[in-house]
Amino acid sequence: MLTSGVNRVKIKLAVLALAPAVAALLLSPARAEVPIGLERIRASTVKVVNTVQRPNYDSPWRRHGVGRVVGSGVIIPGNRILTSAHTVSDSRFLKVEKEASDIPYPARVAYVAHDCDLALLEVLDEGFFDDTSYLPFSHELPELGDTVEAYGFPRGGRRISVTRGIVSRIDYSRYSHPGEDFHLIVQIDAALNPGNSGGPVLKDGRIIGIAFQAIPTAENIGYVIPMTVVGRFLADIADGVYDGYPELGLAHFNLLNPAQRARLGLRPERTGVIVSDVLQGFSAAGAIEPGDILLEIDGLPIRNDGTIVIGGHAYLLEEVVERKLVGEMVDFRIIREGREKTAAVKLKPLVETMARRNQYDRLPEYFVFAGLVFTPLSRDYLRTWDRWWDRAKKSLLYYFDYYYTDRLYLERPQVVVMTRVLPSPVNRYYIGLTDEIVTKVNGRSIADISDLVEAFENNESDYHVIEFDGDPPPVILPAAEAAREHGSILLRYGIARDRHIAPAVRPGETE
Amino acid sequence: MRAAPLIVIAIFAAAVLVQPSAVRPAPAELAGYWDSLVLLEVSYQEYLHRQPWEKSRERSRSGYGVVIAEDMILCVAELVRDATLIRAGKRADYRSYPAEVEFVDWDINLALVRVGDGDFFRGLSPVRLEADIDFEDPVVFGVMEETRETRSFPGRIVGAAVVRYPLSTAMLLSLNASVNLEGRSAGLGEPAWTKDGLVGLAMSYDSSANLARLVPAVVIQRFLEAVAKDSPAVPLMGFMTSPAVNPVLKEYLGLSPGIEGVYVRGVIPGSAAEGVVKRGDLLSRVGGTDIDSSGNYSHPRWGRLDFLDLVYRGYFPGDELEVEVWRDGGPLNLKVPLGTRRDAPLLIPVHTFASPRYLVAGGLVIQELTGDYLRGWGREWQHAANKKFLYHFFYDNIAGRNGREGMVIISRVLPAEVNIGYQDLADVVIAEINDLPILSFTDVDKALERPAGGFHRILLEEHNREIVLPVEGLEEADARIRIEYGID
Repeated sequence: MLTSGVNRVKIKLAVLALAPAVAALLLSPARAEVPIGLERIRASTVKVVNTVQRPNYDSPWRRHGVGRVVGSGVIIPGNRILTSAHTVSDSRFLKVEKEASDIPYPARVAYVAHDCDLALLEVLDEGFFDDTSYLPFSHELPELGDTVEAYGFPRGGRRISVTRGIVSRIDYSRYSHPGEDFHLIVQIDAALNPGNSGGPVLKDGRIIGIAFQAIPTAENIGYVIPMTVVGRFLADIADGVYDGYPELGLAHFNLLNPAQRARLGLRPERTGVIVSDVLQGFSAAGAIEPGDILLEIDGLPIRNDGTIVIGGHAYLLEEVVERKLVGEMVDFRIIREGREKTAAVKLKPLVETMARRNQYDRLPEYFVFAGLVFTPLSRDYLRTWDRWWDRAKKSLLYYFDYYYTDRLYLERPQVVVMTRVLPSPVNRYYIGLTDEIVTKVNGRSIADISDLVEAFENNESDYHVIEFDGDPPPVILPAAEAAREHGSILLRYGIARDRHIAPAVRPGETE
Repeated sequence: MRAAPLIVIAIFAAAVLVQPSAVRPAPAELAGYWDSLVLLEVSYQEYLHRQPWEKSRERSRSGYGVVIAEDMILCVAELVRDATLIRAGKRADYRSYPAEVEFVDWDINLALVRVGDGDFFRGLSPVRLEADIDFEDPVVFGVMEETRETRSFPGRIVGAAVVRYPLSTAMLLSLNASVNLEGRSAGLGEPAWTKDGLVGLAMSYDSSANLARLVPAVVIQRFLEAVAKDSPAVPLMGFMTSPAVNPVLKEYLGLSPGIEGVYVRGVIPGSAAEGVVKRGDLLSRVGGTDIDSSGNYSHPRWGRLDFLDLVYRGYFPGDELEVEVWRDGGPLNLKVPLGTRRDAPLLIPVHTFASPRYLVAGGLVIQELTGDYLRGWGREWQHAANKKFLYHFFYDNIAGRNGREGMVIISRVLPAEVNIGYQDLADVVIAEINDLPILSFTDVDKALERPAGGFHRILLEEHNREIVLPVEGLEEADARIRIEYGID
């Protein structure tokens, strides 16, 4: 689920029932059952080595240098390897290796879920699996205090390593790979190091999760993606496409205040939350309206603080959606204008007009014209600043932070920024300009970067006029000179292509 | 408005061809001028903008003034900000005399202070203003210790610049003087003299560069004229300009590249300039003086200065400014009525000089958003403060757009039973109260007078969230909250 302004309630989880179809998927053995001892674990844990090249959001026609990311993976039924998305993203060459062996086995990413940091790999040479085994999944979430073991190939050696610890917390937390998503995590005190990512975390030999992040400044805190998230991922891809986590798109607030309840005419036993805004394009749009009071979700009563109870434990109401797939329905019981009724929401894939999550496996959108560099505002672009949440330019931070809160997305689906000017005679009076938000080009209001490209390319006047948010004076370029210099500017600055424009992609797609 | 570095057009003697018209000898004797120097010790208490019913611990600062009239002292306004007690002292007299601010104009950073006790002025005489000062002219800075001993420091005028005055949003002429004050901090009115009179009062001092910036005599004169007219000293121009150096801009406007002037990039909604000057005009002459494309005019003595100096120092609110603009390819002569700066063209005022406007209703602390509130986030406020507030303050701070004159926020909620469910609210903007759009702080009281159905409804901008307070019992709840939290 995405962050919202609502306070999070700390929750403890116990048994989570998985849908029968998913359970069947996880149980089918591919080969004869071998007892789960160390030998089997070693034969099921692999090293994943990824040659990466990250895009450069500061100079989007370039990329950063080539690097190497090493992580771990676990073989699951069906001759597939489960690992973390951040280990295999932006890949130029991917291989898997077995313990203490340098024989590389080229692999490819069959499915990737950037919104929950998971990926499934296939090895091109199926012979890879001849002398391996697989590990089964656990069907229960671990309990606090349970002892677990993390296996993998962290730094410090070539053979498999194991660390042991206990489950210290189970809670919702931010997944730093996408940056904006919150899902369940299991926190353990076993040491997790770079290289452990993507490796299995086991309880009694069964996978209770995939190791995926640690807090660099804290000791003995490692995060594990739990089976609820892994299981959902595997169920999602069963139809051949990863659809991702759907979002209701509701801003809702508590109904704890007696005066507010009185005004709404709510009797004390009617509990629920009030919807103040419904985001266009999200799943609940059209079914739920601002002002609706949500009483029940899928038959579960919603309490005044927005929580529901499942199996004796409290969760935020979004938990119901966390467990569902795109295409499924969510049923609400609501009060609208004083009348009780039902509302059915069909969960849709999440497609956002602003790249609020970190993007992977694709190039930044950009357009360079007469030395002016344009790119849509995105989390990745903000991350080019150190401590970006405080230090990035205030206008960009405002549009990013308040994009939904102040409903800025309606007027400006993409916030196109003129990030800087590559000096050339035609633009020499504007060289110092940086990070200005474009409002109009040649009289045309700019809703996204395609608008911007069209406004430049379809211009018939002698000048290009670019206007910005706030009150800076417009940039004015003589059209003929700009056209003449455009090519030489690209050459001078080593820009192979003057643009990359791509439609929004779903969380599991690559370009 | 953006926190860009001040655009200082510093003109140093070496670069200027003008020779001083007469070589003035360093004043050997300034005895006469001690007779106008006044030491002012100010006790003050700042407002705590994030806890607006309280003030900070009392503190004190000291600076200087000069006797300007029989019973009046002139000083820089910054010295007397938030004053609770002002004590005046003079040379060779150990008594301290209570004084009060008689007149203050924050935009020009000058104030008049009156001492009630007539005895104070015995032996003192008003200073003469010396406006005829030039590059490289020597000046002497005079100061007085607490012991009432006087000290003087020699310096010289090294340049002039049009800068933003402290506590002001206007840009005015200042003189730069090179002086070594030997480790003293300064900037609260140290007078600089020649034997012919007062050249200026120091409003800032950079000890690492040995550079003092003065409010010059010409600006002091302006202030005194304003006092005599009982008018603010600095007008509101009503429109914003930017340099038009790019010849393409002129081509685009249909003008030949030889036409010099600045580009009008916006007009303040609701100002008297609206409808007269238009965005896209090229402003070429102001009050009969030519402006170049960098925005400068030619001052006979100080060289090229920002043209704003002509406006802010040459006119009063209510005057008409004669300008020449180029529009649609041809020249136009216009008369722009000038307004008052206190007509508040800013959504979030940069400085406020009265107690913060706020009210507490049902424990919700409702206040006017100001620059002082933002600075309450501490030294790193430009990074740490609320991002939406910072955006408006730096990038979108002109009032009058969409009818909005100011921003009213719930800064925090003082927890009490009446506000259960809202207690985590902080720094949210109020859009409406009881269906009345809140366009400025004064709308809040009006809106709270018209609850409907026994409830007050407050609509917040963020997420369109509505919160509700009951009418019945609210007064009692507020009284309890005032007692609990020690509010007035």
